[in-house]
Amino acid sequence: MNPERFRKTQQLFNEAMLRPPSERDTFLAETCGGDALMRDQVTRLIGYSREQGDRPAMFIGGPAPAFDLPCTADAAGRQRVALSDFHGRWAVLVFYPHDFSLICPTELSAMNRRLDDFREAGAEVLGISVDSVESHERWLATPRSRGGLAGLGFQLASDEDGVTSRAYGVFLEQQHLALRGLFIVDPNGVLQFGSVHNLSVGRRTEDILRVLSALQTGGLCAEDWAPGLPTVDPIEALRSGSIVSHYRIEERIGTGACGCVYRARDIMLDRTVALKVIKPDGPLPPDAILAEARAAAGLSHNNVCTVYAVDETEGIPFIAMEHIQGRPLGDFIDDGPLAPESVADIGGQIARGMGAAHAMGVVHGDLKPANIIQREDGVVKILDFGLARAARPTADADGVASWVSSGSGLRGTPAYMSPEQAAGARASRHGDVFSLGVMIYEMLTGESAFPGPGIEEILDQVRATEADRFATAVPEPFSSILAAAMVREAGNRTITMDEIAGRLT
Amino acid sequence: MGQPGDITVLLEAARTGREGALDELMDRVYSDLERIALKHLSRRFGDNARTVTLEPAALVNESFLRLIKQRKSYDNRGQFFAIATKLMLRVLVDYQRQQMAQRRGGNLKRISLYLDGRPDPAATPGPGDSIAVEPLTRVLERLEALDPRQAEVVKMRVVWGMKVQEIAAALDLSPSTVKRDWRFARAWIIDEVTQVEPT
Repeated sequence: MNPERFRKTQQLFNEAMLRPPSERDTFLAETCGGDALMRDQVTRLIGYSREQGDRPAMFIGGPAPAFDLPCTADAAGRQRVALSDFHGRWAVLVFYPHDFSLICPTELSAMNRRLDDFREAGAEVLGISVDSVESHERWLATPRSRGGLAGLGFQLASDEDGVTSRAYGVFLEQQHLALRGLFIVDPNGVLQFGSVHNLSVGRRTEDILRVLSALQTGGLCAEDWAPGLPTVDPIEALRSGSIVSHYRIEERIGTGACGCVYRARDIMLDRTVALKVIKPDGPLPPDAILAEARAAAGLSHNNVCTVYAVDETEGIPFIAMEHIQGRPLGDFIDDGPLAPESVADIGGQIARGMGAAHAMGVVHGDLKPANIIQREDGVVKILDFGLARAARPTADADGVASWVSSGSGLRGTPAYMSPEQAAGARASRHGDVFSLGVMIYEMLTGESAFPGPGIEEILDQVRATEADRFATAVPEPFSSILAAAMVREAGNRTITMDEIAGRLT
Repeated sequence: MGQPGDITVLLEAARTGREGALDELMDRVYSDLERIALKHLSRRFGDNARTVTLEPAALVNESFLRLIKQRKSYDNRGQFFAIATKLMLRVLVDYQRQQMAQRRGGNLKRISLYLDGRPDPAATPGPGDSIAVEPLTRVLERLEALDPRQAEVVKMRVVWGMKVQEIAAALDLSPSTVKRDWRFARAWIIDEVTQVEPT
């Protein structure tokens, strides 16, 4: 090496180190051009560099360290293998210390016996050691009875200088060999599992297959999980005392189709919250629910239940919100007609809260008595913004029906839906206005606006609604509000939440 | 260890060009280092150690180390530093060879130096925790030809265990330059040892 090349190497090294690890390969490929020696050397140098406080280059959930190694021939006679060859499949990387040793053949043979199981799971196995390809080939040509590996169905790669073993953190510098490292890389090249045994303890194929299957479920797998068994339902697993993020569960206070609501303690802020935990396999995708909750999290109004946090980092999607103790509006309605002053008070509070939401562009989409709670001090709170919107964009009339009928206990949500929503349209401000109209009617009369009895009948009744029928059944100022709020066509339903609030005070 | 004062006198003599002063200085430093190193090595590692890893700076006394670290104040051309470093490495290599040559009980195969000081015993041993003395001397020669300043940094760091701030002060560099130099040089010597001098 000459000083000029040395300086160039140093310069590329320094520049690469300034970049995030994931971008270094691309950077070097661009800057080194055809100088593969330079690129390889700088890559090795980066591999040797452990800065204090640095996260190791390799970690679960991050990109698996790339490699491109000579190996024993595959069926097509190819004699090189790169991490990128596994793209789209799962890769099981098996580092082992040496060919012709005592434990390695037992491990590799056992994995070979279950090779069909690996492949059925969409995974490919690759053995990696510091031995040369020639040594691998001699080993493969040696019969089992003599400690060989004849008939091995997967390839063995040769990491003679230890660069790949080092990148995976399994290289023993002094002995110049790799520890028994096992890594599972997902089809996107992301490292999902890693374990390292010392040299004397072999890995069990059964365990590797278990982890692989567990990863592939995408769910929560407990200690006793085995392939074929169900994953942990977070709802089932959560009980009093469980900790989710920084919330300690105290008691389950509600159950719905999309999940459960718990009273919980925010350990950090030392306050009580309501924790809505979303079922991963519920009728609505958790992602959509969380996205809507995030949109509603910006809302701050006395009549709106505040969303504190939305999180899913531990595999349990949940919404932390203001814990409200009180009586749902549904209970009031079940008890019979409310006094007009109470209806004006409750209706006015709902309209003010909704007016604030609409002003921010947030639509509720599922206003109904079950989502309205009145505290003992009389303050009315609106809950569950956006839940319905999460469902609506993809749901046709059938989808809505199946959502409602899946035991949500939602007291017949279609009965509070606007005619256009019942016909499959998206939730809108006008839809919220219609729903409030229905609730005002029911509070005043103690009767269902759209009694059904079945979901199909309710939807038919909603779609055929006539505002006048409701307006004439109630006194002023409610009569004129319902006449405007319960108009069938959304475009003609021009009254706003603020106007309703104004007329009720 | 002899009195640093004696060494300072010899240094001054060598600087003013008195004939033989440099040889005398080298002899003096070598015998001091050897005596100290032998005593420490046999006491600390006995006869049974196969490989030992050490911090050479731990072998010499404080006043000698001060001479090394504050060389700027008396030794503008770094002559004494260069000599002392070379001699220290030679003492270690000689000791290793002598041990291997023993008929009986010569178990010692390798003396290594820590690259970043003694690693946390709880940490996983990693690449470049240490480097054997023999290849290090050869790698240092090559590095000296490519980039003398980085070779200086490596000697200060590996042989004398100097901290980044101390190296920066001794070489009139900014600490960040020293850090950058060291980060690269460290990786480079590991690579040289692995790629060019597989042991």
